Amino acid sequence: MMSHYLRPALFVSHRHPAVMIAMAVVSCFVISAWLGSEILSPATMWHTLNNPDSVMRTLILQWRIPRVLTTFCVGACLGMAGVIFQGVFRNPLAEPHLLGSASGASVGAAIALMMPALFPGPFFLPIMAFAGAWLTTLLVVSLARVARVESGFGLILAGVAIAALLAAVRGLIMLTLSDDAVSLQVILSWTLGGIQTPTWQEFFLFMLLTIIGFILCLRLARGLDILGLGSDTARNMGLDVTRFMHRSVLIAAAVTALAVVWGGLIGFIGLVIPHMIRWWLGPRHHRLMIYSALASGAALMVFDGVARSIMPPAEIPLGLLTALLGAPFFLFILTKEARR
Amino acid sequence: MSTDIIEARKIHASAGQKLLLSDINLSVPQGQFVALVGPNGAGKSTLLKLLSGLVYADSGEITLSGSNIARMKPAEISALLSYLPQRSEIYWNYRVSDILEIHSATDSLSLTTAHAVFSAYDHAKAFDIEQLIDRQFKTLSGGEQARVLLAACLISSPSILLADEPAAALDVSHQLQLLKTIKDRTSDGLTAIVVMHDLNLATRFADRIIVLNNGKIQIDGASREVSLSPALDHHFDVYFQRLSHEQQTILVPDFHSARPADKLASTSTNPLLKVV
Repeated sequence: MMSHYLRPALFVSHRHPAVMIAMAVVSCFVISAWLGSEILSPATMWHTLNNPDSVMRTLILQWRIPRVLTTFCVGACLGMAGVIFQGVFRNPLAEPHLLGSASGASVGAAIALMMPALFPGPFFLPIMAFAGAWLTTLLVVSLARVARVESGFGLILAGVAIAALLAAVRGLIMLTLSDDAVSLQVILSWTLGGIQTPTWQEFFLFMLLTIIGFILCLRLARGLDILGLGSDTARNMGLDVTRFMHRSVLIAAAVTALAVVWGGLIGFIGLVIPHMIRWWLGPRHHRLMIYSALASGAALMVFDGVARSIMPPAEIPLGLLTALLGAPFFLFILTKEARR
Repeated sequence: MSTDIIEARKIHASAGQKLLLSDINLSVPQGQFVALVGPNGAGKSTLLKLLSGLVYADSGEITLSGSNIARMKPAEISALLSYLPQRSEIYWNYRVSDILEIHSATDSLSLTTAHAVFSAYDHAKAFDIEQLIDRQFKTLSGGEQARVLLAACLISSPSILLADEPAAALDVSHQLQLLKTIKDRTSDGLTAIVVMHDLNLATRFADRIIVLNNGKIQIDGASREVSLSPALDHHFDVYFQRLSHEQQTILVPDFHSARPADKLASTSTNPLLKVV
């Protein structure tokens, strides 16, 4: 089986996974903070941070560090959403991007952004993104359920079809509603995936919401473990399967919306990382949720660093980079599943 | 007050236009091993699912330990009863220890505690599957999987076990081992209703055999009496030769005789046997 031969190649040891993931997160943070339109060596960065009069110091502290930390939270949210969607639908291809949830969030957010008169203030953006993600996921699941293809490729096909439809809707909204007040360029780059650079205040709010999301996701772990034993067994073990699925989709939509509001449309992180963690540490969801959140955050920090530093001063959209890696991985899982 | 732990009264169940079960009346006292037998499509799995609360009847009432199952919360049913499905639907590559731990944990917090882990290992020892504990479930043989699933079902010490063909696809040795485990537990008070296809194993291990056909209970009685009943031949549409060995009746299908005529049905002279 794949898991057997990939394990030694990908990971040195199964021992001390907590130490390994902590080292990975810290290393990825340092690498991401180091990368950018101006690549700073660790030594230069250290000197810069110790020089209070340096402009670069202000730039790093007020711009680069909050952005890197925001990227970590966006990645963590995508990883958690991926774990929930895969667990609740027992579908290894499920993730926010492919299920259409992220597209739903982006349409909700685009409406809030393009109609500031109707949705004033910063609070409507995440609320609209959440509503978009939730309603889209419910629509996709309902379509797959009607077609009786809930646990197979049909769910993903329904997600991809709805995502394509929503992309068209989003394009129409942007073309018809853009004016001088709302830059089309900004929104377009956001839909291609790109981390917003927040103020420290905004970051702390986002971090708080991510932590709340993390706690809610972690509380689903036992239910997801039980659901992995089969629906009948899960019901017999006292799990109200329908209610649990509704709650899981709601929470996954909420963390997807958080990720989309701060990072735009970033695909495949929620697919690739949970799979790698599952191969490494097994399928138990308590552990899978924690390690997927941390590893997804770490991986996205490196991707964002690369996106910022490849073509300075321009940034490559982050969503393009993750798709370059994620799409082949998706095909790999697809062929593996087709053989099953 | 009734001592029956499972009671079903006037149960009717259907799927669309098709009637699956009709006028099912059943009482099972605590500690009894009941074999539910019948031809394919007789309604055995449906009855088991109804008794476990996984599906609901169109009409009638099922009580578990005196409580109406329709008014019981999933957690209350779960504390009382374990259901072993016909086919394992385990999706992820769980190890055996994962499956036992998930079954032994009672809430989300205890999952990570040592209690669940120790309980799983103790249980594995009791069921003689400790050598499998680190293996992935999907890599086990059919017999090993069946033993693991039965151990998982019984880890929470339920009062009732409802098992849907747990011995199917097992070799003879594993069939005997599995059914002996259930039989031993019924001596300790477990009530078991087990769907079986092998009438000889049912006669050997069960205290009582219920024959279901066309959605109705056709014969219900002590194992030995049922195995001797000529109505059995009719409901399975085959003649059985009955051999006697060490006070056991062994049923051998007779391939040379014609199929039983309808007139043989529902004739019993044994007062202990209820032929409907």
